[in-house]
Amino acid sequence: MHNKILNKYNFIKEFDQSHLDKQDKKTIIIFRNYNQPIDEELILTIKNYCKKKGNKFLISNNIKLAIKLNLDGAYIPSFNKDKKHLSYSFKKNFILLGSAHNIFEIKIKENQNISKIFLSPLFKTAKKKENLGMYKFMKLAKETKKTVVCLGGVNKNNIKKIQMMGFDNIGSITMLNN
Amino acid sequence: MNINKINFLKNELDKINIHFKKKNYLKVIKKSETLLKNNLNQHIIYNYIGLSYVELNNLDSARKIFFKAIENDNLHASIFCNLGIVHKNLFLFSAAEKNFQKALELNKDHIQSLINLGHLKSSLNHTKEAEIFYQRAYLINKSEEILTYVILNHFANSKFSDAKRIIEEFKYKFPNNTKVDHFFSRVHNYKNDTGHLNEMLEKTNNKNLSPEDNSNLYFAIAKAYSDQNQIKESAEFIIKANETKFQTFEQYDFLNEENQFKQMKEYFKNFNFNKSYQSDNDDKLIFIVGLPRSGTTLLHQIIGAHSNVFAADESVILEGVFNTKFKNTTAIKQFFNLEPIDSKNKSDLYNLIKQNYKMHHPNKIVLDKMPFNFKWIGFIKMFFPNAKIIHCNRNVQDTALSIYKNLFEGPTMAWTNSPYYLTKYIHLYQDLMNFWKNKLGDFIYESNYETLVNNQIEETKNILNYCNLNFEDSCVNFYENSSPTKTISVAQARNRIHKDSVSLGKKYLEYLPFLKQI
Repeated sequence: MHNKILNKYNFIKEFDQSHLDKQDKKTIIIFRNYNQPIDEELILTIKNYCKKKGNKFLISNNIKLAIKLNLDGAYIPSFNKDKKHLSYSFKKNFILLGSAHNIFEIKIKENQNISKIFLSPLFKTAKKKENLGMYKFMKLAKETKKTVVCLGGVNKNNIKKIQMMGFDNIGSITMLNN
Repeated sequence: MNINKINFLKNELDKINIHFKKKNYLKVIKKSETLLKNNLNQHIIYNYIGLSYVELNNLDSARKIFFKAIENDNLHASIFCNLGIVHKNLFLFSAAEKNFQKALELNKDHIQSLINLGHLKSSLNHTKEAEIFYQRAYLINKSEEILTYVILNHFANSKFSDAKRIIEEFKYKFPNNTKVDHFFSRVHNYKNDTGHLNEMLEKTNNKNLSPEDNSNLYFAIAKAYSDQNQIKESAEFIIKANETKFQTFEQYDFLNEENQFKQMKEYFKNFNFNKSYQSDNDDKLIFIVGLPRSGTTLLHQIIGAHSNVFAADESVILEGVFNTKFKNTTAIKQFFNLEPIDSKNKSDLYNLIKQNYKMHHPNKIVLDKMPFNFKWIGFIKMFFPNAKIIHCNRNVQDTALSIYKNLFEGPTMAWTNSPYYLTKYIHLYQDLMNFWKNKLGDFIYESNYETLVNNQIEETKNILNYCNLNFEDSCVNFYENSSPTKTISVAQARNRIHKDSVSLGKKYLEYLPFLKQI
């Protein structure tokens, strides 16, 4: 349990070479920036850099673009309840991930046929004061057979706790920068 | 496996199961070994053999059989879990933890491994980590057993409102179980509330309650009356509670206790502590010893609040290792007769104890408040000459009353439920402590409970000074950030020092006359 290798997911909102250099090969990079219009050139630049480094690269909330630019997959945020993608033709090994905060969103993600659910917020974060906490998180995670990724306030200090909770998938914006 | 073989195996396992339930462990082992010889390499067979060895207290054989199962690629969660239990019983805590973790790697919902890992963490006083494992188990199965662990762990972490929430769930699911009434009484103040007390008095009319259930109830009612300062009623239920509880110990033998005290004096009478024994001088240990209810928890909270100290609560290590090692007179005799003194036997024992204490905390000074370690003071001095021992002294009538009015679990604590044995035990303890003081003098610090509550700061400074610790304000304001504790004093430990319990025994003298004889 404690020695099991963690699957890590890192969210980025821009191309920062030094940041990407710090990630190990197994970390999956997810581009998520809802404040600016998507720049395809930028996405391709990140994709190529990640490929060179050996990291898989996904984009958030734009499955069509992920298919068009031949990315490794896409991430469907909790507010996206659309199921259009179920009619799309995906390449082999296309990764489809999604996020949820409660049981209703978990069920939506299951219907969207994603492979892993990012459940959040596990711990307190600077932005959100409300968090699920350990017990509610574990209780929610039991509601799905999909693999659960721990998200929200994850950092080096609480990784041991996450592993003791029986999870080996973590997502973060800040932690992996260090 | 063909269908005939499956049917044969099923029949044999049914038979073995019946033997196991009837506690015919030797038969279980014999039959299971025959199955193994027939190439039926099933994890359940290894488990039957191993668990039978555990029941027969043959832990080495149990360990061997589980290792054999693993060698034969029987990688099943239950095998690792049972191996972990064996390692825990052998006080090989680090190995036990790895085994439970491996079991959970194989099956993350393996409930016994979750519970056992919770127990292991709890016994190391890592109660926050224990909470994770108990909560995981609770999500899978809300049994009486698991609810109990969750409640007790919430107590240890001072999460009283969470504990009360689970208590309500417990009451709803198991209305006839009175354990929960006792739990509730531990953290509830009945001074201005009679609701629960009336509920409990109503329950006493239930003729279907077992003696165990009744004693839980009576102890809780006595506590409620005590909170309301109704001494006569409280004393009446204290007596009923203890009499009922004592009846549950059919084969209690006080002779074992007496022998242990006698042996200590006998073996250490002419023992020369000036010889150099096993010690690398970096043993960071503080022991708080004394009778239960003599203020050990208060002292634990005070010293445990120091930044250099890890408060380990009542660590099972010393008491467990010595009780296991010296369970018969031959073993202790052999130990003392072996020469030279730093023989492998002694060095193994030293290393085992030391490694386990390191599991509490690798760097900090570990504070162990197991009161019964007063029996092992000679060994502490032998193995850890640099350790600190603080002996808690409290008015003996107050202590005796406090022991008698509280419920202690386990057959080894049966002496607390009998005025006769309680008096005898206290006299034995006083005699042994006098022996250690004459033998070891200043090695033991005498801390008086009444002095501590009347002169908190001065006495705290003296104690810290004895422990070679600098004074820290946190030790005075210990209740602001209290260390986890699992003992009966859990609720008191979260409060400021008070004098309510001083001379409490006097109030009960009229109703509990045996207190006068102490």
